[in-house]
Amino acid sequence: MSGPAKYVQPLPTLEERWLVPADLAAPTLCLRRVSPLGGRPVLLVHGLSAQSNTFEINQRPGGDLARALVARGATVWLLDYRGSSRPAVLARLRPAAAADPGAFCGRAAAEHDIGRAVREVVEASPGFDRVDVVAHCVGAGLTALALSLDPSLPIGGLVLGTLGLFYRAPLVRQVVIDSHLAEYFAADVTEPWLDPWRDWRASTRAYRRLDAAEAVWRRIGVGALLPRPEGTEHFLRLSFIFGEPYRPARMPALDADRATIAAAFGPLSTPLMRDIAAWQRAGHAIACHHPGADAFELDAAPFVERDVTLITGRHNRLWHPDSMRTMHGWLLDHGADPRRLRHWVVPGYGHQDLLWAPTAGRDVYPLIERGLGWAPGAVAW
Amino acid sequence: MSRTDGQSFDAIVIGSGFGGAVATCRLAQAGLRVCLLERGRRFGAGDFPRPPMPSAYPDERSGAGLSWAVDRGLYDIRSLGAMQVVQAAGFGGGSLVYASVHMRAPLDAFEARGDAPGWPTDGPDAITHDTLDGWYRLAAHMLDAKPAPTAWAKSKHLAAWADAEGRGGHVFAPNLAVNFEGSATVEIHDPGETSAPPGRSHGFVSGRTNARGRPQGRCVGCGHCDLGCRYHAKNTLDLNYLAAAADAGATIRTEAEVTGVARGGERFEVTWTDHRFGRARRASADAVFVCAGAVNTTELLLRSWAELTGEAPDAERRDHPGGRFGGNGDSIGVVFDTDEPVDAGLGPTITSALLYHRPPTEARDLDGGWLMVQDGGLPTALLPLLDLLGYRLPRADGAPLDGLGWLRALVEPLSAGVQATLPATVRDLRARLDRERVAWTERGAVLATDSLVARRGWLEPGRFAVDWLARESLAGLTAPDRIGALVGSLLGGFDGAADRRAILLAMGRDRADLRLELDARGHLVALARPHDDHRLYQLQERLMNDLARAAGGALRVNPLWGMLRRPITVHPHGGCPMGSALAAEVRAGVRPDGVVDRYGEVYAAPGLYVLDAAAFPAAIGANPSATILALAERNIERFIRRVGSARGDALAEWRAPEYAAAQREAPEEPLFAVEERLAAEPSPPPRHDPIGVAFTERLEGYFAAADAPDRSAFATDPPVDACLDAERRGLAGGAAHRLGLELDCATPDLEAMLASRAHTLSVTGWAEVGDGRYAVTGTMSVLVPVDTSTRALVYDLRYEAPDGEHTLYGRKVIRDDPGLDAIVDLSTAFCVRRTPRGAELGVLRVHLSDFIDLQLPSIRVTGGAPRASEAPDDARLVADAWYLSRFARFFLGGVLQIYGGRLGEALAAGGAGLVGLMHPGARRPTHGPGSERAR
Repeated sequence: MSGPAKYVQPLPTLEERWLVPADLAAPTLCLRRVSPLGGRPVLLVHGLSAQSNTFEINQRPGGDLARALVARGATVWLLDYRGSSRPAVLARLRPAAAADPGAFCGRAAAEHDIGRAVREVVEASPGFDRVDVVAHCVGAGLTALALSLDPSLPIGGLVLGTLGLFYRAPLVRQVVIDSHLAEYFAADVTEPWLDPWRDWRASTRAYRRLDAAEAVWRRIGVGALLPRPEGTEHFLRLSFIFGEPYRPARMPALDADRATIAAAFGPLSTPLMRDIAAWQRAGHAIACHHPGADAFELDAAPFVERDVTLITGRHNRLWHPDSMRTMHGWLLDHGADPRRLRHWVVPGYGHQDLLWAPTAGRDVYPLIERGLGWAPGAVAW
Repeated sequence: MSRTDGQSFDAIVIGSGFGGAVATCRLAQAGLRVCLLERGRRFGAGDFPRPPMPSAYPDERSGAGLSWAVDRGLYDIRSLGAMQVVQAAGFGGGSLVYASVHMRAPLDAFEARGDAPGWPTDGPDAITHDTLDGWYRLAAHMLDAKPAPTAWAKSKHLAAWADAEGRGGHVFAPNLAVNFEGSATVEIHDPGETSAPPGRSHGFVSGRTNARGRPQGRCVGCGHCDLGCRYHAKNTLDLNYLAAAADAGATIRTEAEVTGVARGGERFEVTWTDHRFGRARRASADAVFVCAGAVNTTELLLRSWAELTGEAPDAERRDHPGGRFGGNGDSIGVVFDTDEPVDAGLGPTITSALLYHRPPTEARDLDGGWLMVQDGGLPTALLPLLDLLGYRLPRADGAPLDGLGWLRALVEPLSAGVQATLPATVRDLRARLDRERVAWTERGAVLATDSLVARRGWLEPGRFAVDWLARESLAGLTAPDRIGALVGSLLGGFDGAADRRAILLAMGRDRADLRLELDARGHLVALARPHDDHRLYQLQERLMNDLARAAGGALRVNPLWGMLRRPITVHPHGGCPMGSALAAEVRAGVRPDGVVDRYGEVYAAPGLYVLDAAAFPAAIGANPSATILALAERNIERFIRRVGSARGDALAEWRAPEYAAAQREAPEEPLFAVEERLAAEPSPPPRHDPIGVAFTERLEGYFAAADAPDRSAFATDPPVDACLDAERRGLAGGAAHRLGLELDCATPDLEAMLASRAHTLSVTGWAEVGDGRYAVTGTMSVLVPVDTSTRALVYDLRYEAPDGEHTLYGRKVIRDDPGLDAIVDLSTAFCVRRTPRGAELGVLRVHLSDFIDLQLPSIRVTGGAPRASEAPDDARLVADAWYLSRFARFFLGGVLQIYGGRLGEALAAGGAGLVGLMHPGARRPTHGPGSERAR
């Protein structure tokens, strides 16, 4: 085996369902089942500008999380929602975004995508009234937001990777975020169809300033240095805006293999990114661009009632470990039972390597499995 | 969802330290609806910060934040002017970082000392050892305090050194609130805590579940108690009192920083900032317990006082907050290069204590006092610098710089890109240094330090650090906050082998006479009384010096104290001192003599309580946590019983559920046995190796015959105009009327000089009269206090001229007159000279150029303790700089006390103001000698 296929080993798709989110008219969500029905349903939710195959990648070929869960006997469902870069999903998102850009944002993705997918999986799993969810990065943030907005979501065990409701960025990136550079660069280099906010930007003072700045930047030639949006450079752009999603030192092989990166990271969803930037500035998920944003209060109760596992890497440079610490303290404050709320800051790990590192099967996956109620050690790694 | 916003409670507790944890726990156990507000985060075992290793990833760090100021982390280091305070922010308060020493107050701690306000020791509600005994037992039971089972190497060393100094029986091992039980197997940790995953080396050492069902590890002796215990071996409050509070249903909110307490009808309105959401929230309660630590409790009351009482806080009134603030006599010493390895890092941070008790025989007995020296692990106060010390500035090619990288990271100009790679703490320090450096350069005073540095040859390559230290330490003499000075002295400090270094932590009974106030900008400041001689710290230093000598090493004291005379404390107390009257008596018309009554209730705001060390009316000298706990237990029970009486229910007889069990067994207090020994035979006084200071001063003046008042009249009111007139006449008279003086001023014992009221230095030198040159002897008294706004420099000199003995009595009066008169006052001595020909008046002046070129560079250190090992050259210079700056601090500090505000205004006005200060034309004699001096 060679090339990206060495690291991305898609499991056979046993079933694929295209779903219509509640706020859109066309099917844009894709649920993919990769193991037989009958086991405990587990839904895997990927991060921003990644796709569901992020759970099928590992530097130890075949050592990925999806396979680990399948080996445990779980019925694993992989979700591509509107933060996905999967080409088939993008093809469907394009017209939907063009038709209603206003709905195409973070809160919409949380309310309408995650919720829809969770209920669909429960419906498709006879004998189960709840689904366990393992979510990573922005997918985890959106899942947490979805649960906070709708405590009745039939989620059982919940494993949140690197993000919850609180967004704490490393200092260096905070500068990028505070100065609105993230939105600026994202918008600048993204295909127009993914920037349905051009008009809105033009009408906003901050963005008019940015537009003026853009002209200056172009004149002094900095624009030429900006990464271009094709190929693996989506990944470069992500790195530029957010910092590298993994520690290169840990993952040399994958790092060298740009095609794998290209297969995992695609174009950005600009409105989603705009909301995430706003959430970072606020420090927590907010109902930005929605009516009643001021009165918006996040609800801890649905988390307190469930088994929740928070996992991040000590060296996470994408989302500071304090994102999870803050969530942990908030849940304890609201009465979470320490025996049902687990919090792991894994030494030696960063962000993406929590899923992709060759040692993740030894160090990280058991923590996820334990969060879902499996006893440790049943499967040898 | 349980939202606290807008909710109503029976009681709100502010702060989760030793006072607040007790209050929350007991109120919840009594079934009252209680809400605890804590500004800091929760710290799981794995969350405690550890200094980062040099790393290609500067954003990485282990654990949550270090600094409250930077990222709401564990340590809140407050620079309050006359006192530096190190306190913790987190769920569990100071217990997260304390050394777990659980010690009762000394036998006579509650007794009155002199005429200073003290503890209420009379009446049925008296605070004495007898009345507190049950509460002390309860607190020890709750924290499971007991003797440590192991004698660690460093405890044995302290005992050996004490023995060598004839203090063998004065060392004891205090009880520790630490878990020494359970297995040492590295095993999977408990759920809910951050830790390493299986298969990796860091693990939670599985121990046992404590009485509250919380898992705790066994002490592994890692010595990191004051960095937060990563094994949960310390019995911190979150594992006992606060766990019980949570189990009993208390509402707990962390990252909730209280911003105000106000009256809302009969109830209190508490507002706070929810840091997680950046949102203001409020709740109301019938009673509020302020337990935010002495500094923050006092600050909150100062800020809320007008809201609460309708009166602005008044510094003059004893029933308003701010008074009786102190640091429990804390100081730190580091012994370097001990003969034998000490392994100070091994074992709990504090394992043994040396008691010193010697009743003073007279008012100014330099040997009298009560103090303790404890063996230390890592000094908490140096923590923010660990980031710095561990950091290496990357070069362009990525390779780390040499060992001074951290220093250069702090002071060198760096590109924005490189700056972005610095740890947050270093950036913070840089920013502060930059601000101060700019301010200092504007003051122009860098002139003087430059000159000093150049004269001493400190500008050679490789001496950069010493140069920098000299600048920083001298600059630090007036700047309010000189981190640089601290860093610089560390440079001198961190030489020698790490395992031959012992940390000594001293504490004792300071006078608790500082005052906390909000300054004009609304910042909290601690103000010291003038002429505070800090004898306790000097005694501590001498004792530590003896121990260092016994260890074969050399002592460095806390550089902020050594250089800036600013003590640093981890045990702040006072600010809301308790008075002797009961709140009910005050309501009946008795005049209050404190801020709170003996049960912690604020006289001026019934229903508002202070249950932490802020209520201490005097220093107790020992580690205070056990006493805070015991008092809080006592006071909260009284509160609960009063609630019960008012309601007429069973709470009227309420008692803590653990009380009965706690009375059955209690650990003995080992302090008492040593105290009794010392009561029979007081501690021998420590040795005294005086350090001297000497400098050279050049003055020039003109004299003419005039009617001179006698000496005492001259001293009380020098005839300034007559002197100026005589100077003019003398100037016109030419060289025969000139007097030039070149004086060598010296004191063999700086400490004794500083401690004395007259501050007298001996003077020798030469007088130039006409063509003659005659030997001068006499004295110079520096900064003799005249009244609160005036000090005097007095010259009392004599020399033998051909026509007989001349005596010279001169006086510089330093007084804050209108106008910018500092330099004129400082450089101008009004004199009377008596010769066989008769009396003459005149003025002696120090020229600025002489001051800079001669006097400042001539300041030097003499004497000092013989060193067991010859210190490296640089270290010797550094040590000298300490003593120099100590003298300079005293001198400039005294001057600044008088000129304070006006000097500041001039400096703020920048160069022009400074010029005005040095050449205040309006007040300068139009034809003074200085104007004719050509150089």
